[in-house]
Amino acid sequence: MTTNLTAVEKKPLAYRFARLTWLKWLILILPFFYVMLMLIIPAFGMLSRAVIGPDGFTMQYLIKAFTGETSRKVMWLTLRTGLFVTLFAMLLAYPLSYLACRTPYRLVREVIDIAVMLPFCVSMLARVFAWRILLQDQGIINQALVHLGVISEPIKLLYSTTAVIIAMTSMLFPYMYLSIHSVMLEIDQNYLRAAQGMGARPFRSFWDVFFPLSIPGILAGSLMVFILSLGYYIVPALVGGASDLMISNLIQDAISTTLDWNTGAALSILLIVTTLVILAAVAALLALLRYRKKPKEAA
Amino acid sequence: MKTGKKRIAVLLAVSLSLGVLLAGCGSSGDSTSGDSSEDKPVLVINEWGGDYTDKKYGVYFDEFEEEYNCEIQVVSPIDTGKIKTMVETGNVEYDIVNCDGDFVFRGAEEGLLEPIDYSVVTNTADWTSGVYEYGVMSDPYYGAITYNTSQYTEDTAPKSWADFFDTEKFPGKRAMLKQPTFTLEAALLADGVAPEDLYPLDVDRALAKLDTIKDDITVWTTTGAEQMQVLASGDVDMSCAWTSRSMPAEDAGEPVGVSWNQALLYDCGWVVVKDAPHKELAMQFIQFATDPQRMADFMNIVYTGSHSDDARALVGDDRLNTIGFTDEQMASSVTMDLEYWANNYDEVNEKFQAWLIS
Repeated sequence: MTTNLTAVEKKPLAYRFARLTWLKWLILILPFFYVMLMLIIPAFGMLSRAVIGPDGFTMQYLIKAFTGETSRKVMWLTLRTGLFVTLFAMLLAYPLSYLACRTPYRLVREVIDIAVMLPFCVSMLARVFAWRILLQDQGIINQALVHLGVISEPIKLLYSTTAVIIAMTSMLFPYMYLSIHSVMLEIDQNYLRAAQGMGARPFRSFWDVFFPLSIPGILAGSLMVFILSLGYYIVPALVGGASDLMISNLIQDAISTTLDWNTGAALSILLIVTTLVILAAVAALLALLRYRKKPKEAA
Repeated sequence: MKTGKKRIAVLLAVSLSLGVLLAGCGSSGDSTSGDSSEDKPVLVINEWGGDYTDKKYGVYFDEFEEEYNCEIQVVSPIDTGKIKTMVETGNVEYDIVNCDGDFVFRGAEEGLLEPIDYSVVTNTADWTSGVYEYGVMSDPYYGAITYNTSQYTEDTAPKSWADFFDTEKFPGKRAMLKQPTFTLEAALLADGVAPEDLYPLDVDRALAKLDTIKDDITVWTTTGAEQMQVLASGDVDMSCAWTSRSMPAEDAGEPVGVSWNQALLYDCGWVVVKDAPHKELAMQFIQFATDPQRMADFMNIVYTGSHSDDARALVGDDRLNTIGFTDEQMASSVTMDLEYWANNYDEVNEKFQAWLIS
């Protein structure tokens, strides 16, 4: 590709802002006000309850949310579920996306694309209930395994962490697929031909050339899936067992059931802070990798 | 040409943004009093929704609309968080809520409810239970031991919570509610606590008792529909389930049966939201809906009961037996303390959740 050769000439930010016509300003400002008005200001109003109790400023809710045993344990369970879901979505999406990208048959590519996108057209609740039916003791998966003689009596799939991870992976998998796929499509196939022309075996050309170029897609997809998964609460509530509590379940309990909005806000801050810390850690890691790569390139 | 295009784009952008702003202002103002077509007041009732709510039209809503020349608008489901938002922002859209019993106390404490005007609501004067300063209990129901009839018969089924917790005499998988209400009471009754000594709950003792069957509880249910589904599908052999769910299922031929002994009585009732737009009409509705004959009519088509002796007297014994509200059934039941739950739910729930994930 020629993108690196004709890189857009970088102008100072102030210069670029000065060149905006008023119509472009309008296009910038309208969404800005919309987001401020509808999202940021109400969110701050809600979150401020974490430090403003009935008797004025207090840290008790935040201290409880950040140090309380239940909320810490649930936060850890949430992160663990998110990590598993991200991992499995990646393991499923990568080969499938690779197949769709490399197959010479248009039909295969289109069938994969449709199969991935189609579930988006079905309401999430309907999909959760479908999983409940599939995974229950008398469900099709258990019955098939029993009839095939793999197991003698139904194994417990529904109401377990396994069920939560299976169902959430199926919900979030398309985001991973789309991120990886869009990056893979951008990879110039000539690089692979060049590698093979120089004598690399197919696997070697994949591992040394194709895979490193597809890493940005994996990272973007993982980040998206992981962060989206942290906010799930319907799926764990419907297919999970006793210990499958997500932080969002606690927040919902506080907001809707116990009406303890101070605790709800404090738990929300715990979730936001945890997410930001993870984002910062990933950003730092990426910066470090780039920094270590640079001297090599220069040499 | 170029400037023409630009002008159109500008016009579009401005009109769009104006439209958004206007729509935003319009809807926040007067969505409840949107009765511009007629002058009838619109009484907004927040209900659970579904089949149960639909049945209230035939008994209560349609007739009330006619008699009081108003319109009833039903909004569902019930979200107490939303009610709190309405009262706090001074934008109250609901008049009446048919809420869970403990919200009568919790809502009152949060300042979300109007006291019931008992000079208007006089039907409840001779009730011995279910009448409170901030609410009138209209739909009592039980959480009872419910079993799968392909595993147990009426004779062999567990008949007390002690039986339910006895996995040797009564083997099988169990389901319980993923909430402290009902579940902790059941555990304490199983551990030998007398019904009159239940409150205040000994939470640690209840959790210790639950520990003894934690591995046998394979499903923690979160909805009423789920309670029936896991029983009917055979995923569990017994469950703590709401009779308002299990009795219709039994009548519909599902393989479920109920042990009435030690059924846990809970309530559901009418409350009026603080600063409701039609406060007086709301009180009149509660008076209308507590009329014994109407309550009797309602008990004939649903599976909840009534605190009104007059209403129960108007219902045949067979029907009362089916819905669990004969005098004997009520006597063998255990009434849950709504006020205790309103005051202690947060704290107890936290311990319960911690126990669940331990």
